[in-house]
Amino acid sequence: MTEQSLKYTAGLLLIASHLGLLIYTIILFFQNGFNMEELTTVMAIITPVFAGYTTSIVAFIIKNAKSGVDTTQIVNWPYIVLTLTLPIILLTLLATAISLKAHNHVFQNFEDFKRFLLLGESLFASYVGMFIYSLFEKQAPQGIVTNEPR
Amino acid sequence: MFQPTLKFLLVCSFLFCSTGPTPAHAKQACQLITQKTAPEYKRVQPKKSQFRFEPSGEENAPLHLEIKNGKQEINMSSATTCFLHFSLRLPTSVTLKVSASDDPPVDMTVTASSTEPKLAMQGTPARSSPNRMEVDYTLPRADYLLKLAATRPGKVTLVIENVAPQAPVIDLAVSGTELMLDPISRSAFRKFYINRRSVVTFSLSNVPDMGKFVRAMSVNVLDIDGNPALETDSNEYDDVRKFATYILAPGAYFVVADGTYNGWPSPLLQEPILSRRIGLHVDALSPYVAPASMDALSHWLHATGLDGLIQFNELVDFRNARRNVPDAYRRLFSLAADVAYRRTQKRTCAQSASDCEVDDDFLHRPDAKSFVDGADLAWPAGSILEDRPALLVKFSVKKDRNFVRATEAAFEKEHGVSLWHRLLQKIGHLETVSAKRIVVLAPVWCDGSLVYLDGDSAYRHGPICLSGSSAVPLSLDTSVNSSVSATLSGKRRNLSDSLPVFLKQFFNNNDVRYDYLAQDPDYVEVIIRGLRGQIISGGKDWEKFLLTVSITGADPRMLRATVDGQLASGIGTYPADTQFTRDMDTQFKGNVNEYSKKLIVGLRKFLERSP
Repeated sequence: MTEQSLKYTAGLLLIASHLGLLIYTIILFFQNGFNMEELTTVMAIITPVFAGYTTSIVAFIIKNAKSGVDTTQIVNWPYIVLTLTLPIILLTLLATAISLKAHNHVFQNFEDFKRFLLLGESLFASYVGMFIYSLFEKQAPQGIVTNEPR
Repeated sequence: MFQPTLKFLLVCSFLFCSTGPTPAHAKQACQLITQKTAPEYKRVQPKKSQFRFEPSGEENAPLHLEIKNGKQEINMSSATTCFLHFSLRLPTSVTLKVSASDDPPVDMTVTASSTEPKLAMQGTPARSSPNRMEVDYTLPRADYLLKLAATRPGKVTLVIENVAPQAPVIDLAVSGTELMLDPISRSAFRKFYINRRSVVTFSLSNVPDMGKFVRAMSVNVLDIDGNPALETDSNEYDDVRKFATYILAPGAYFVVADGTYNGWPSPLLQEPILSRRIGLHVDALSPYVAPASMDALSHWLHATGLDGLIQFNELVDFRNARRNVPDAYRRLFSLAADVAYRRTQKRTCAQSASDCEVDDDFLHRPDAKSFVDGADLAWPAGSILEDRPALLVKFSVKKDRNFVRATEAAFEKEHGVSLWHRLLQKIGHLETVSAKRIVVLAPVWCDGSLVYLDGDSAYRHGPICLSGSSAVPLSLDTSVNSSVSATLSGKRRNLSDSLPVFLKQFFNNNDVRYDYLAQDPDYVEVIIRGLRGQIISGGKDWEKFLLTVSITGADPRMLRATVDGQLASGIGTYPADTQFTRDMDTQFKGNVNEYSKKLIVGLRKFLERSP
C-alpha cells in the first residue's frame, strides 16, 4: 500500500466513523438512551477529539482534489496496521461505552461513564494523533482561536 | 470536648452587648436618607418589650451602617455631628468618601469602640478638599463608630468603596506559621483555600497562660462572609493546646486565633499575650469523600434553591463505621442517643395509662463513652433499640434564626409539609432508609438544631435564646414537590394493611416493585420501582419514587401523601438505583403534584370503601 492510498483509507475511515459515532449517539438519544443534557455532554466530549484529526484529513483531501497520479512510496505493514488499528480501537471503545451507558449497563451513573470516555480518549488520542499527524499536515480547526500573532 | 452550651451563652451575651456604648455627647439628629434595608429583612416597629436588634437612629443611639459598596445620603439638617456604628466580622480594607452638597467643610473619624480606651483608627488619606474627604482604612475585626462632622447643617454623602476582607494567605500543605494577635480584635486571621471537600484540623501552640480572667484562646474557621464554619470537633475550653476540626466544602475561608476576655474580645490594648508568637498548625488535612447519595442530596438542594439555607456537611452512618469520618461515633453518638431516648420516652408515655411527661432534659441521655468502643457501637439494651437512628446528617446553616424560621413557615404553608420532614424524606429516599431512622443536625444560632421525625412531622428541637427581634425576615423561594391531603371519613383504617392492597390495584402491573421502609398503622413509607411514563404522563424516562402516606388528626382525620421522585434515562430493562440522578422536583413539579392528587383521591376512596 502506498502512502497516498493509506492516507485516503485512514482519512475516510476516521471521518466516516466519527460521523457514524455522532449519528449513533443521536439515534440512542431518540430512543431515550440519553436525555438532552447527557447527549450534549457526550457530544462535547467526543467531538473535539476527532475534530482535530478530521480537519487535517479534510484539508488534505481538498488540497489533493485534482491530483490523480499516485507517486508516493510504499509504506511497510506495521505502519499500516497501527495507523488503521488504533483509530478503530478508539472508536470501538467509545461506541461500546456509549451503547453500554444507553442500556444502563456497566456504568454506575453518568458521571462514571463520562470519566470513562475521557480516560479512553486520553489513553488512545496521543497514539492516534501521532500516526494521523505523521500522514496529514497538522491544521488548526476553523474557528479555534490560537495564540499565534495574526 | 467542646462545651456548646457555655460557648453559646458567652457568644450570645456578647451578641446582645455588642452594639457598643453610645458616646454621651452623641446627640443624634441625622438620618440616613437612602439607607436600604438589609436584603433579608423588612423593618418593622419593634414592640416595647422586645430587644431592639438594630439601633434605629434615635437620640443618643448611633445609626447602624452596613459596610458594603454603595452610597449613603445623610441628612444632617438639625445637627453638625452624626455618629454611625458598624461592625466588622473580618479584617477588612475599605475606602470611605465623604462630601457635602452645599460646601460645608466636613470631617470624618473612625474609632474602634470595642477597645478601652477607644482608639482612633489611622487611615491613608487618598484625596482631600474643603468639602470632601477620601480615606483608605484597613480595619481589624471590631465594632466601630464613624463620626461625621460638618460646620453647618446640610446633606452629606458617604460613599463606601473597595470593601474587601484582608488577611495573609496560607497554604494548608505547608504546616505551621506564627501569629501575633492584633491588639484591637485580639485575634489573628489567615486566609486559605479549599479545592475539594476536606477534613482539616487546626491547632495552636505556644498559647500563653491568659491569667485568671482572660482565659480563652481558640482557633476558629470563618467562611468568606465571616460566618463561623460548622465545627466538627474541638477540645476542652480550658486546655492549653487548642485544636478544632472542620469538614469544609470547596471555597475560601479564614482561620482565626481568638483571644477572648471572659467570653468576648478583650478591650484592653496592652497585655503580654499581644507580644507572644503563637504557632498555628495544620494537624490534619485529608479529603472527605461524601457518599454518592449525599452528592445527589447536594444537587437536589441546589436544584430546589434550599442550598441558600443549608449545606451538607457530614454523614454519620450508625450501621457502618466505614462510611464515616474517624471518630464520628464519639462525637455524635450522644445526639443520636438523645433522639432515641426521647422517642422511647414518648412511646412509653403514649402506651402508659398513667400521667407521664416526656423528659426534655439532655442530662438523662446515655453517655457516649459507655457505648462506643473504637469503631464499634453498642446501643444499650432495652426499648431504646427500637428507636435508634440509622443515620445522622449534619448541615451547616447559612442564615440566622429569623430567616430560618420564616423559611420554615413559608415552606410549610406552601407545600403542606415541614421543610425538615421533606429533607428527611429526601435523605430517606436516597439512602433507602425510613425518615424515622434519620436525625439531622442543623445548628441554628440561638435556636433548636436537632431534627427528627416526631409524630407525623419533623421540627427542630433544642434550646433557644429568649430574646425578641425587630426584624421580619423574608423567606427563601424553594421549588419542591408539595404534599397533598384529603379528609378521611368512615371508620379507622390501618394504613400498613390497606396501602399494599391499594397500590397493587392502583398500578395493576406485575413489573412494579414495592420496598417498604416504614409500615406503621398510620404512617407508611414505600419506594416504588419499575415505572415508566406513570408520573410524567407519556414520558419515556424510568421512574422511581418514595411515597410517604400518613393519617393525622382525630376529627377530622387527614390523609396526607408526599411523592419524592427521580428519573433515569436508558434503553432496555429497568435501571439500577444509581442511574436515578435526576429529581422530579423542579422540572416536573406539576406532574408530581397532579399524580399525588390522583393517588390520594384513589386511596381515600379505597379506604372509605373498605369493609
